Amino acid sequence: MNTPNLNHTKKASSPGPTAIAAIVALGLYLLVYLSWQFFHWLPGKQELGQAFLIPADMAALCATLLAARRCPGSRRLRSFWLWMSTAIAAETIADIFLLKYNIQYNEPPFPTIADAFFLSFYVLLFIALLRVPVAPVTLIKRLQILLDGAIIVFGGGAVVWYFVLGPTAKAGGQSTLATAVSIAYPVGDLILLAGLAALLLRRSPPTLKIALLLVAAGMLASIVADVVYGYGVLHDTYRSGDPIDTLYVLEFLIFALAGISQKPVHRGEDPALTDNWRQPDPRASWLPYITAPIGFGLLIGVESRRPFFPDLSLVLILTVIGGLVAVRQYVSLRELSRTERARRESERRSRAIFQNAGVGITVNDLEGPVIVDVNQTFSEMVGYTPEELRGGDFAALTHPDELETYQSLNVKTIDGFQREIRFLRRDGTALWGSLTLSLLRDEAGIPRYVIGVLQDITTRKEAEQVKDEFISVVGHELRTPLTSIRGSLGLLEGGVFGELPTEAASMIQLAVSNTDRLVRLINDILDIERMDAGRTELELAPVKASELIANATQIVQMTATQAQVTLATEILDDPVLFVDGDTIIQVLVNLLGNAIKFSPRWSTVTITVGLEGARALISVADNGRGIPADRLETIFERFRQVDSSDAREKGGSGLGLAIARSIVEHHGGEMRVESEIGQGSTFYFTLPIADASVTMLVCGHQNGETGTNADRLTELQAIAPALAPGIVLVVEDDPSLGEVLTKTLNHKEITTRLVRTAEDAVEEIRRSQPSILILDLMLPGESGFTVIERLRVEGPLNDTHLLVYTALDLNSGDRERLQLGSTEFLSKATTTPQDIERRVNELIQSQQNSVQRGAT
Amino acid sequence: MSQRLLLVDDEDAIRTIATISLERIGEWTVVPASSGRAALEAIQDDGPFDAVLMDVMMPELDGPSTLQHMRDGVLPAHVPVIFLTAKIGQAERDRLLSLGASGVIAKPFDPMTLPEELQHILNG
Repeated sequence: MNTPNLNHTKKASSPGPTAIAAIVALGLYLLVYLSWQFFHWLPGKQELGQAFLIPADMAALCATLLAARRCPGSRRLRSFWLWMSTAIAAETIADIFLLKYNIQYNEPPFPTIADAFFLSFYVLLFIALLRVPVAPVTLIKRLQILLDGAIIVFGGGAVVWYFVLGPTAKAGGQSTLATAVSIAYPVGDLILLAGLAALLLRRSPPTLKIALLLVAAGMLASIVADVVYGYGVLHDTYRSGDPIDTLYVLEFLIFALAGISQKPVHRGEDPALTDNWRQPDPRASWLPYITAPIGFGLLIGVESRRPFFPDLSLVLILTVIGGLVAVRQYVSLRELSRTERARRESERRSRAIFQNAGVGITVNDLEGPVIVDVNQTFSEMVGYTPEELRGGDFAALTHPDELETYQSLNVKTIDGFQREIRFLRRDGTALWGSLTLSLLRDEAGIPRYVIGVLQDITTRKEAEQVKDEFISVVGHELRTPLTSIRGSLGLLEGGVFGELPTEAASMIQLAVSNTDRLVRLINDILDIERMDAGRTELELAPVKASELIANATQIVQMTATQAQVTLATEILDDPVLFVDGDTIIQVLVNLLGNAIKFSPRWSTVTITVGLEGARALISVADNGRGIPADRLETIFERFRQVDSSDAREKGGSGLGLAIARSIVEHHGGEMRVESEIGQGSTFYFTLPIADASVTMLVCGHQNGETGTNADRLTELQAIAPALAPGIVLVVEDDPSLGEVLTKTLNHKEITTRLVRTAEDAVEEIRRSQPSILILDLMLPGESGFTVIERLRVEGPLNDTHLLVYTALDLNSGDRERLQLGSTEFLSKATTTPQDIERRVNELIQSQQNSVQRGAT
Repeated sequence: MSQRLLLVDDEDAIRTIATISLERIGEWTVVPASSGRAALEAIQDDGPFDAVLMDVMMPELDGPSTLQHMRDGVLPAHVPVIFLTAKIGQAERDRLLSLGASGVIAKPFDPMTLPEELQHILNG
């Protein structure tokens, strides 16, 4: 949308060949006229001088009409040019009549029809000026413009009155009509002056600037010429063709130029609507202060010549000017103090908000983290005075462990940055803050400062830590006595000290089962807390679904036998899962335990594994009493059981399903339940599947254990393309880490390449098809996620082993998004570049082995 | 002759229960020690042992530190050390194994199956 407009403006701003030709013609005409004025190479001064005016009039007429035609997009602008051309037409007609009289009579009569047209020129031009598109202004501004205009008109009026108007009015010996017409001319000039003032003082679209300045210049020429002409007529010294006529020729040539300068305004391009209007030109505001001194200068001049009888009319005009100037000053000062007050008030308000905000606020210089300003709250948070902080280095407040976070920031990533981060207080203690950053730009839109808003979350962080510690300690402290209780009871129950009476034995059994329940409850609470706090690190590895199911059924087999429930496994598909096996077994044991608990005797609990789209779907179905529809969701919440008596009867903690769902969701899967009262329930959950090459590797390993070495190698060879010899591509924006990685990795078998942005990464992968890709996620601009997403779409990465090397804490959703081919996740916090090197060497080694063996 | 086991735990009750379990259900000869320091002395005075079963959380010298002292030449390298811990979780288990433990048994343990569990670990 923008580009064509820009092009258009460019084309329009350079004058076309026609416009240049027109300008040259106007210039040549002026030269011809001037040479005639100087040398009079043709006789007939009066007629010819008048005749020279007419082509200039015609040129202006054509130019303004064409300008009006060029502006179909703006009604006001078109109307302005049309009124201009009408005014010029009137002037043209007047000049033609005057030429006729000049030819006809030696001494042209006065007044004539020509004067009527001359006078209408002033009125029409004034109307035209009122049609110029202007910006709307406030009432006070309008008053100022009006006063300024009045001062200009009265200042000019003083001149006109002194030289022309006054003497003309006082001069006798003419008919009333002749006197009236004589007076009308300088009055017309004053009208033009008012129009000129209106033009210069109001705000017009900047694209009209040249045209309007030319019109103003033309008008000024007209006013000056008229005053001189009027003076000349009064003293009977003027004749047509006098040098003063040059100003008239010039006037109309300038009007013609103005018309030519009008750029086309197409429909929908109204400059009044599309231009970004600037503030009123401040230069225009001193205009009144030029006219006023001229007026006063005149007064002093007159006074010095006629000390006793000053020209009363002039004194009157000048008094009015003085009054106007005073009013204007007063209005300006009022306005100035009002805006200044408003500005100060707003500044005070902002300052108060800044200082008293409940959050800490810092303003930092974008170049180098120098603190420009801080508020009271911030300085209290960090324990320094604002004076100490201003001009100081922001890094001094940063906790050493967080420096890296700031280093990774750039202009693009600052806006919207939000993180829980540590600061250093003056006393060296850590301040936990939730920090939000934004850019502060200057008027030109260039970012200058970084505004940081900091919320103190130390208390919350400490509370979280206390809670974590508390739970951990409680877990441990409860377990220690429970170990003794459970141990003692177990020994008694086991008959180590001899057979117990039946009643005693059943009491002991009750104590044992309830102790076990208590232990489970504690374990479950610890599990779910760890899961919620995100502290559970899933150790993802490829494993067959059937293997996990076999493990789980083995664990619950005893319970099932006791409950006289049969366990059945249906394997529709046996996908290789990419999961943390232990936790999935926990999920299965949980679901199977529940199913067994609620199943009637002699019934069957069925575990089914199959595929659902690109994921594995595992279900556990029982023929139990079922779950009411309104409880289907709540059973996954903590301490929610279908029947509160279940907890006592069935011995569950009420956390089992919550933990199971949490584990599945951490893997990026989903868990749901379908149930019918009296018919039973089926719990379903989905899990991610490892990709093809990993599947082959797993199969290879498994077969290798039973089959021969050669079998295993053949199978390993199948995955050889996944580790084809070639290039290790490191995508890392931190220059020092990037260098360390490439230096560590570069040796004779490995070629390492380093890129710093997502865009370069995608390009380099496409070009060099690296066998191993080490990917940082936090990159300038687009992130590592983008790299994976783009590769997923384009799909050239099937054969590349991906090592995601990041400082981010990835949740299971992130991991799933990043899964592409063989993918491993390595945390920057725990994995050193040396660890990376080891892993890369392993990958390369296994690739070389399989290739070598395959060759022999 | 039954195998000799050094049992280290600061809790009297647990020492008692584990001793009964290992001696009566299992066929161990148990030498109890109530602290890491006592354990190191027992190795000097009462050794040799065929295995060490040791609590992790103990005042003064905790399980891992005691293990370190033992591995500094006090205890022959081939003698397995198994930890007893109330802290469950894979991370903790891995940490203990990385310190050189042969196995980890979670608290609370079932005294009826403790000897079996221990044997399972020792058999690898």
